[in-house]
Amino acid sequence: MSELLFGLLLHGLITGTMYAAVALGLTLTYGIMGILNFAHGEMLMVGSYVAYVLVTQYHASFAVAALGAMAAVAVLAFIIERSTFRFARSEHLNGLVISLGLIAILQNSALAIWGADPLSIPPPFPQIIEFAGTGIGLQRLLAAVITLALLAGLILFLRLTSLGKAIRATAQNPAVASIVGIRVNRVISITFALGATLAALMGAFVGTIYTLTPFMGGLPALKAFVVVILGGLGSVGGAIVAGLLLGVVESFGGAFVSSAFRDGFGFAMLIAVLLVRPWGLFGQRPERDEM
Amino acid sequence: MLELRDVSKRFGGIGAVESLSLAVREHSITALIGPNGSGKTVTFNLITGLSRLDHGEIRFNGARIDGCMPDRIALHGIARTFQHLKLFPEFSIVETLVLLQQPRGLGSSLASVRPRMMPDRLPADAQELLEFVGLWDKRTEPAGSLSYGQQKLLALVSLLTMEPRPSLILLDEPMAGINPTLITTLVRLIRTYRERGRTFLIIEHDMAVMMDLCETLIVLDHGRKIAEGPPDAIRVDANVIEAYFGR
Amino acid sequence: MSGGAAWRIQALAFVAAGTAYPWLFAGEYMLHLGILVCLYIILTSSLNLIIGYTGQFAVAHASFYGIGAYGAVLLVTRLGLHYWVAWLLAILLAGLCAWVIGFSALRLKGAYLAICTFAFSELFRLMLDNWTTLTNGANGIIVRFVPPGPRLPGMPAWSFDSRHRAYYLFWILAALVVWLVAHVVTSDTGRVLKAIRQDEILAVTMGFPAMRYKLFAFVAGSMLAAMAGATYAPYISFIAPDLFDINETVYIMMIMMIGGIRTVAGPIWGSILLVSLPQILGIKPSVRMIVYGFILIVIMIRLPGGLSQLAAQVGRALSRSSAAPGPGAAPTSPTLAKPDDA
Repeated sequence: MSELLFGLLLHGLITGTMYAAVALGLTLTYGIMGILNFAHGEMLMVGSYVAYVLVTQYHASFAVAALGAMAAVAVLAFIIERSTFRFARSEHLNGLVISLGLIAILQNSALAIWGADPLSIPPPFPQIIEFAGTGIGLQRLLAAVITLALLAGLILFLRLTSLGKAIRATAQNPAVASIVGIRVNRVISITFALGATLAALMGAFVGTIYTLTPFMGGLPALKAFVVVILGGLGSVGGAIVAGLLLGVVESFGGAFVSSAFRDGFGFAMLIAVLLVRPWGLFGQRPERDEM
Repeated sequence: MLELRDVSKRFGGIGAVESLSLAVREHSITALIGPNGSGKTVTFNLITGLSRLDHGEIRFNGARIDGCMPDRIALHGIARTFQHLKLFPEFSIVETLVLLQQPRGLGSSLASVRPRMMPDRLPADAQELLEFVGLWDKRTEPAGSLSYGQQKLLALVSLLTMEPRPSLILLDEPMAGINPTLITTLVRLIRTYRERGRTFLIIEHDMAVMMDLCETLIVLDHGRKIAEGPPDAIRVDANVIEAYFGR
Repeated sequence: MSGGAAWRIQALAFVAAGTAYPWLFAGEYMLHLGILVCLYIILTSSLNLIIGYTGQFAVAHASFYGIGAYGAVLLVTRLGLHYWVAWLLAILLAGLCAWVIGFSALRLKGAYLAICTFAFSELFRLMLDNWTTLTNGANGIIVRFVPPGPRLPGMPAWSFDSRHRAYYLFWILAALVVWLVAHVVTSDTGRVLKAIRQDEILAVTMGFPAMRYKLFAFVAGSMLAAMAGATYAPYISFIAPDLFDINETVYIMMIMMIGGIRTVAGPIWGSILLVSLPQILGIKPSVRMIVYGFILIVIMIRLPGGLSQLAAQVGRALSRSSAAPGPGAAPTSPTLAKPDDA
């Protein structure tokens, strides 16, 4: 029994790591641009398809394909930020609408190029291994480990490097940051690309674990929103903790309550949090004049 | 008329306002002054319900208003301007004033099937007031196109003409950033409307004007009241001088 | 009052055009297009009330459209209710859902409302897909009934069973919705909604219970979307979950924004142009969405008022260059005058 529980916990943490990574990009973007990018899931989707093309058409190894996906999406993110979100920084509603337009463009482009049939990337490590008495797909485990390492690296990067500190400073107060000499525009572009790249890597992983469709980004994006709200809009640590939490809740909920409605647990949590504590588990209650 | 008793508000451990008690007499013009960051605007936010207080009581004409929502407090008769000027940039001056004549409740709005004859709905003294401040000619211009000083005047005029007439008017730095001739106009307005029965509580940095205009000054520093009294007494108060000119 | 006469002319033209349409453009295909345009006039005008005029960024509009459709169909097929009773109940159900969601979500900052409604939209689709015993899941439901017509004395029972009649049903509803929205936005209530959009805190400190107004706009707009759904379901004869998901809301939003938010005419022009053109030109839906996505982004950055703003600017330029004295205070475009000019 305890093996079952441990297995559920492990699965939950593995999935949660990936939720955290996707959510991180979203919360970083919101923190630094004030824009909620509904098209974040499409960054993941594009990453998936680029990896797919590199593996199936160019016979690249998965590692190369994943890096290629990240590079491609980084470039895409730069282009998007410079040509669209940059002009919407003062009017946040515009940024939201722009992201909706991006969803339409990206999803339908993928649809036009690859069609709606589900595709998949052959995983480099399809084996199931025994880990503490329970079976885990090696691909998943590796994905989670790599992601965890990246997340840790990202936190160190934000804390210790000058660029990381510049990012945090700009997120806190862009006006002061630019006075101090930080190239705010460049920092924002880099941050946005960073978040998108992380999502792209998740997309590459997801392509080996699940299937690819042009609309695959919708559900991860929504989960990311749940995580971001739970953890507090703009909070990096909150995103990570909440991501892991969501993974675990879904895992246990799916096993003990209903597997068909597994995805619904996140939304139930979201609704509960929004009703009771909208500023997230780790945020601070804003004043009435901030709401 | 307005009473704060032992009011405290902390932002994450830092006391923005600490154990503040003050009173504003009816029909008075009172100043709320102090160095930057002494908690003046926070006090306004607490009075008008935009911030929740952590401790204490605020009473208006005897009734407790702390904890009430801002729209209910406005209906009690308290109106305010904002330090960072707020207005409805797309509305013309006329439309702004007409908006503030409307019954506030949703039910009354929906039930009102009056035609959009806007100029007819301007309050009686609106024309006189707008001409006095030199805005009558621009009354159909969108508020966003006015100059900064004109916008500040509009903010004040809105409060003076709005229905229901507010009995207590809070002004947050009304003189900041406007030219001296407009300041004289503002002062005359405030004095005139005090004669007509309104009460004013004003945050300002322009000491010369405040000393002349207000009969009571309340001085805050670091969220606490350090002095209260008529201008002559405040002028020579040691605490006040130290707060402003350094320690 | 400037724009008043121009407004009346436009309204008259709108009513005349819509009523004469089936005679000008006969044939099943053109009637179907006309119905689609009317449908989207309803959907975009109601969303305009929420987003355009009150500034509340709610993205669950297609879900309320779906509550109307599924609600009406299920109430008729499962409970055997008379169509129009089911129609009304479905609208009320949508209103209730909107009230519950709005009551919690409208208290929060704009971003939270967007996320909350986004999540509700997905939740609703998940429910439609998975609660197969109720909704038949992704396979959808075939609708075999048609709306009955009102019983007139001396006439046999009839129903809206031809496309011609269906067109008039949709047309009447579209005209009603446009009238309703126009009436609200030019009234006292509309002024408060616009004030809330511009600066909600200021409106609140001036004594307006902003929450109630926002709730009103959200619930009313959502109920109108449900009405569209309840009416459309029997016409289209088939409903499925993917008709009512976030992509549909995005589509409605595109049409509304490109046509022009904050004007009554914007959504109308948007619907006429953007719903019919791709059909007439035979453009695939995916290509259409890509093009509209680009147009939407360009509009957001350069022309937030949409085509209405463009038309107004053109109209002002024309009336200035013709040097004719304007009829009133502010110059307005002769064809797309905003009814809320001072």
